[in-house]
Amino acid sequence: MKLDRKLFSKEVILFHQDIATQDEIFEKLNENLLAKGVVNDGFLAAIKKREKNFPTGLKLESGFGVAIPHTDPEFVNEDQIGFISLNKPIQFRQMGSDTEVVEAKMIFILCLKEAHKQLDMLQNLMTLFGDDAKIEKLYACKSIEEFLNLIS
Amino acid sequence: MKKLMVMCGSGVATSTVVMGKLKSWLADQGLDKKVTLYQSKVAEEVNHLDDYDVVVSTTLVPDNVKDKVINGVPLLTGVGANKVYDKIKEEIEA
Repeated sequence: MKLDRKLFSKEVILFHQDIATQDEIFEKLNENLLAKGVVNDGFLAAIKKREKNFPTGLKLESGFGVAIPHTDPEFVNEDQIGFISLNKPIQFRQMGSDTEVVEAKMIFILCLKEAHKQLDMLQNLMTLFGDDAKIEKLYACKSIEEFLNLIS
Repeated sequence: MKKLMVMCGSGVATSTVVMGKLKSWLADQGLDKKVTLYQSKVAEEVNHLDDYDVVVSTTLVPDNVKDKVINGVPLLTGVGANKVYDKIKEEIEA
């Protein structure tokens, strides 16, 4: 149940942000990912569109809400995960549903070039989502070092 | 041989996780020799879902094919996963 620290090497890890809309989340993450060369110019438009058509909110067993936005590999230069935790939850639609919404408080943005090679990572991320205590700790987390120790 | 299609929005991320879960589950159930797994994106498959015996999706599909498709999101989070496995098994054995 470990995520490779390399996937967070660009340190796009933002804690307890005050953000009011889903668009703002994507803009903030995109700005950071773009500056570090993880994604290309088409990423922002693609991720917004993709989330609209194929929502990625997930309500976990404890009721905690997360979202795992991701898009086609052509907008990604390097495998990486960006993270943002929010002071106030923002609504995402539940994955696979046209009616349910999730109050998401943590966003893991998955920038993947070839997901097939990242199967372990994706499975480990899902295992992490099943660990209520760890999810609470991640949400409370305030430093990148602490964050990396929790996930890896 | 039954054909089982796993789809998601991009055909690379969440469907990959579901593929992994189904692979081990099929082996545990002794069904791995009876089922061929396919993976794709919704947009590419939506017009020929009849080619498959079982279809699992982690994203929303158009209303006209909803009856044919099993929601695979519980396999990602584990919440309600057993029901989904039961349904898949039922369709494989149908």
